[in-house]
Amino acid sequence: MGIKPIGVMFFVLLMMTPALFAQVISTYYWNEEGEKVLLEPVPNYIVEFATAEPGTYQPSLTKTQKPLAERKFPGARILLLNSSAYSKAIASKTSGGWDQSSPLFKENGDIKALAGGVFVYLKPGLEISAIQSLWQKLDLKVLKRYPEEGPTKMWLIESPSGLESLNLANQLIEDHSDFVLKARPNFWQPMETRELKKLLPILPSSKLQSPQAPKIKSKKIK
Amino acid sequence: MPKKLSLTVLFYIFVSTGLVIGGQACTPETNFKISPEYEVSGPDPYFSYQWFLQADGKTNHWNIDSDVVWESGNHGEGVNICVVDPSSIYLRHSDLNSNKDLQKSFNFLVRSRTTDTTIPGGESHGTCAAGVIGAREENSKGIIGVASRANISARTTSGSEADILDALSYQAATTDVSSNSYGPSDATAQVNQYYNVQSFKDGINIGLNSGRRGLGTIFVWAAGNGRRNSDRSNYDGYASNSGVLSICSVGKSGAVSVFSEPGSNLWVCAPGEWIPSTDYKGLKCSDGPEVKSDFADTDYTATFTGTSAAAPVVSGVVGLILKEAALQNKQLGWRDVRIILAKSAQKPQGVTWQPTGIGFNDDYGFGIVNAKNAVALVKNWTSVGTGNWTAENLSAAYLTPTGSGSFDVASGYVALNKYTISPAAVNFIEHIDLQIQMTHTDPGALEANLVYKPLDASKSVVSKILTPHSCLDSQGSTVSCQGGSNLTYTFGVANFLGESAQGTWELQIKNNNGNSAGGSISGWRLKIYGH
Repeated sequence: MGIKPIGVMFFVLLMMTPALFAQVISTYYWNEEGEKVLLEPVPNYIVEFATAEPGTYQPSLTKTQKPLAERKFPGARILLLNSSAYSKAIASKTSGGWDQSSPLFKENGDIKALAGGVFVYLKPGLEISAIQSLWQKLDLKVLKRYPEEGPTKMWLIESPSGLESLNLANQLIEDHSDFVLKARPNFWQPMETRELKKLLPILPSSKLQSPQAPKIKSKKIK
Repeated sequence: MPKKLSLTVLFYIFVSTGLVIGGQACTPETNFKISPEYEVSGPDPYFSYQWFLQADGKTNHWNIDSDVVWESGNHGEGVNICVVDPSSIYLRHSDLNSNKDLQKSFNFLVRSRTTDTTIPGGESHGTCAAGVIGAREENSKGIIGVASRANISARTTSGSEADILDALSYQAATTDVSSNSYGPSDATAQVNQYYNVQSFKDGINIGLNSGRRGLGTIFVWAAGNGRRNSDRSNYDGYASNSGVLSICSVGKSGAVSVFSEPGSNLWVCAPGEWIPSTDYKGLKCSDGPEVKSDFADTDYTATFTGTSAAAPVVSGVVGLILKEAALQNKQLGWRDVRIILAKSAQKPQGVTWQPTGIGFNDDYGFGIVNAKNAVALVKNWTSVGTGNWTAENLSAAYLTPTGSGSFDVASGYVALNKYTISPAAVNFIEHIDLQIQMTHTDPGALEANLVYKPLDASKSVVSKILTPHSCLDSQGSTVSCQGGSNLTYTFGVANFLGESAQGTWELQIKNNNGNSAGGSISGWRLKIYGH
């Protein structure tokens, strides 16, 4: 399925005109139960998703544009870039050069990014053959069905990470509502383990460095 | 007899484990020393350091009495417990190897069965959780897990919704217990974090509906460590979900841990300070400042601390409960297990317990988990039903606002319109979801309580929902909490377990910012679950 490039191009243009960008950041949304949920981009932050090899990332702008700060999470890292690198990152992404990344958004205070993939609920009563034809017609690949056993209630559809997945989700619900009941992107959110530790801000800052812990010379217990 | 750590070493451990919250150094319990607790010698060399498992006969420290259950021959044999974690889970650890279940394990980060892979930033947190639950007993290695013969599987997840859904619902039919020690950041104290994660809700629902061959997977969740940042567990959409058990932490004296979040959603506490466990080849349990194992054997740690450590203690106890049920030929639904844990929890003295059937406290939930009491309850237990919240044997009353609908909360205290339920469809409340729909620039300015009175007004029970506080933004600056327009805030409420829904329900709200941060409420409603 061809992704409508309008939103993506618009986004790139906006990156180059900060004042205009600020006026229309609310143009990003996803559809939930018939309501548009706004996504507010967090300027200069992107999320880069790891490849199948943990802790490794595709060659990215970070090779030439070192991030100002970085915070690692399992399977992803949040990068703070300067404005120029941020614009380049978005532009590179849209030209297919940086597949594993997403702009960072805020939704009602929650930090989110677009990990790639779209969850789709279809209208009840559709024949399997009609569903298969729909995927075929739209040139979509089904990654997974839920639940694992019994009748399928939800499909996970393949898409690139970033705005492409947002556009696909919105396109499915807005242009194919005769089949599609709900469609939402596969969001990523920062996840923290809950052992006692220093609680760090979610977003890395160029001013805030990770604390240097003292080296321990601990005596061993036999 | 093993040597005690020197005071110098203890100092370094206190400092290096990141026990610096809100700019002040603190320790979970200032008088705690890492030292052997029991005058026993067994084949597991670090068992004597596992202070929380049994009474030591010398000091009066708190413990879960697991030894009494073990002596009856119950070590959780055959119960399937999975650790879901965004970190490495090293099931080939020599103390977990006998109990590992690789067929039920999956690493959703790399889409393979290998959960041993080192996850940068994640280290061995999941291995620590797994050891607390299922380290093998009497194998001449390390420690003893609470359910030391349970089958332990591992699922590594990222923060993507697809991974979370998969990790929570994978092989649901044969997953008895899901132990989860992660969630949204505890640093920000934002209200209503991650409430809108549909895949999380879907994963929980699949587990409750299809898990444990229809009896429902038991989801155990760490309540959170943000107490010093004014965070509450009921602000967290994961720990506050109606399908999970939210677990707080206590120390050796039974006092609630300085980091453990309060909340209307708390179920029970468990020991969560300085818990000895397995770790991953000497790697730290924490992704914070560097911590090295203080045992000579670097595959173990004595310092696992946090609600991350408390949650797997409860997962192990649930393993013992389910094994006892199997021995008694009883079928316990997931709701049965929740009520058994609440009813069997021990209540520390000196704590005020709400005057409800089971008694609740905003710091402790229903008390501190106790394996002996819980297993004893199973023997004569009558099931409340094996269905889930939406099954026909579960009654639910869904209330909608009936008043004028709009309230100015900028001018001070407001008591919203009351709901009176009589007669009640729910005579034994199991959980409540409270929803408040409002427009407000700063929900941290609000103080909100849900107040229940029975029809005869013989008592008044108050559940704290919102307490006035500042938030930290995602960059660590103190700010007003994130508000918005026409938002629906959902809060899990456990306080009223065992009460009848019959009576009056009132939502009281006070705006502590006066007119500086105004807003309006367009409605509130309760969803009361029970039987």
